[in-house]
Amino acid sequence: MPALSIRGLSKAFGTQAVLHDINLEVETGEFLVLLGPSGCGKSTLLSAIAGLDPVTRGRIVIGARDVTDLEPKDRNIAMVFQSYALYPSMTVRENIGFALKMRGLPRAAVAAAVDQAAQILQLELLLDRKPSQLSGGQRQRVAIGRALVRQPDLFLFDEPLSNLDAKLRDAMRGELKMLHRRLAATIVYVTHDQIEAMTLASRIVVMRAGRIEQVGTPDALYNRPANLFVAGFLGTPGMNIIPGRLATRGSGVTFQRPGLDLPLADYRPAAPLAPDREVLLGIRPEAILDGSRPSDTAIQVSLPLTWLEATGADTYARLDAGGQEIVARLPGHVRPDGDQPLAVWLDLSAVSLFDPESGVRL
Amino acid sequence: MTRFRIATPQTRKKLVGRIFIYFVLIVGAAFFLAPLYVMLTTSLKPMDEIRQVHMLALPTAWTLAPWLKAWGSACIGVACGGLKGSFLNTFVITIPSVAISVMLGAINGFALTKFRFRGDRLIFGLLLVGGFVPFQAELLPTARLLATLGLFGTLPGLILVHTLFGLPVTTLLFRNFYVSFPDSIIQAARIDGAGFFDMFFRILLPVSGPMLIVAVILQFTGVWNDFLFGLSFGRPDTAPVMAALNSLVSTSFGEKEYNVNMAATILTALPPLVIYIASGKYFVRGLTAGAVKG
Repeated sequence: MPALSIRGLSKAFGTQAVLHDINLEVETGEFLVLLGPSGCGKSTLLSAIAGLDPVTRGRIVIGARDVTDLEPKDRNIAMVFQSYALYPSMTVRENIGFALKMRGLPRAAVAAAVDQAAQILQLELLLDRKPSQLSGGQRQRVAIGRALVRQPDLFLFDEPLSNLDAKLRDAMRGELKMLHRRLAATIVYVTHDQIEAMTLASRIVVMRAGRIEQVGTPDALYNRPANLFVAGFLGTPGMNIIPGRLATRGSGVTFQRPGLDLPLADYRPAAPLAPDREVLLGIRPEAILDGSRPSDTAIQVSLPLTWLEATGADTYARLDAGGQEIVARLPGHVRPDGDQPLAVWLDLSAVSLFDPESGVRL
Repeated sequence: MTRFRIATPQTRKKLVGRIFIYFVLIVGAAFFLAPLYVMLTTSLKPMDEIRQVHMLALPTAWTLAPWLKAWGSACIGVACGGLKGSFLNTFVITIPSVAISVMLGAINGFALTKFRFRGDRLIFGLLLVGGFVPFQAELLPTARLLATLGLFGTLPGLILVHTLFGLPVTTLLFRNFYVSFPDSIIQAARIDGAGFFDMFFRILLPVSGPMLIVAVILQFTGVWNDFLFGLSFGRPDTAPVMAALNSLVSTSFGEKEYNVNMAATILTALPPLVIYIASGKYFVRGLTAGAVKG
């Protein structure tokens, strides 16, 4: 039985539809990340799961209970907000214990649960402080403690790290990952940060304009994006997209454009590829390599170098692939000679093909 | 660079400006304080001194007799008990009507900012309109209402009137204060299982200190200084102090006792003044209070 299942969920504000027929299942213990640009509906979906906003159509089932028409407090969920949303007049202890107090638990039980949560999150020394006396990271830990103490069926996180500075964000990301493993909790996590999504998620849901674009493991989404949007959204710099044509040669299919002729014998298309058609070929910057042949499926091409960016860890080489600029991520020490065409290996096991009209993966 | 302070044209100009500013400020302050000075000195003079010596002169024979008379034995109409009875009336009217209208205003403000319900904008609009209708236009309907309820001429009647007429202002104040309170905290409280009044009393009210002070000062001053309702809906024994003061001052019973009148007036104005002075700092802080920092 899935921990959470969303069936045919739609949501409109007035005539403005923001979620279109969302179907999603989350397994127990899963860390599901809702990823997408701002305005894609990921936060609205989270609000709907929490019960903060009524839905227009569809059902939400948590465990075995249909919670669509239940109040947030009756869904046995906990939510961590981007702005932490701590109660300003209460101490850390009171903040964490508030939900239990509202449930009418005896004082001793509340205190014990608060102490346990505080211990897990290393908040013991801060219990008598007010939120205004805490740093951003400490506040976020209190917000997580407030969620933890309720032992919910489902944790909801709404961009919990985006108010923290970069260094703290990395640290908190690690803590969240450990916490998830330790509690075996089911988590739905909203973010627009692809690094957070890639590092934390057991599965990622990429959303755009109120629709789900793709659901899958971080690997699957990164290596086999279902469409151009997902391909472009994940990865920095983004996937290189090269227009060209498919042609038949011998038993296999090749991708052709002026200066490029790439055999696609190893490509596993969703449906048999029709020859002689326009396609877009996607190849990640790290699948373009220099040096020795990386794999049997790689072929070597020589492309003019137009620009070089050394960032320390990596050197980004911009190459001219028959009038289309593509970016290669090369090791930081590589300094190719700008006057010579650069001989690089294209790893053809890691390419994607898209339909130019619909943007869908072929 | 100069080693010594030399009166350059610039600094001289600055100095002249300074002197001018202080001159204007002092003249302005003196102008507005002059009536208070006259009232205070007059209230401390015996009557023959008032008749014979200039108004601005300090008393030569200081006396507290006018104050005692104004408080305890001056004649208001036919009763000669001074202001103390009506003073008590005003406290009995002011304290509950301030407390109730401020508390209800805060609850209204919370409901109108953090909850969407059918007709919420209409209700807020009507409350605003209610706040802008001149009281004089509502005198007759209010009188009928009080008569129907059997409260005309009673202290509970006056409390009810002041509570109702105070609500638009207090609601508006708290609505504007709570608008900047983060919605996510209310959402967190909903998930934590807090009900409406849990949220209000445990989360909102503890951070409403500055606005509570503003609302209490405004309401206290308004109700205390009310003359219209007290005169219209009070009886001699339930009249608030403003109505009593008017009767006392306008009683023409032989010689006008200016010193008693002045003492009575100062006594009447004292409570709001004390509240302003005691909490003026918080008043300004409340008026300028914005977002709540979590």
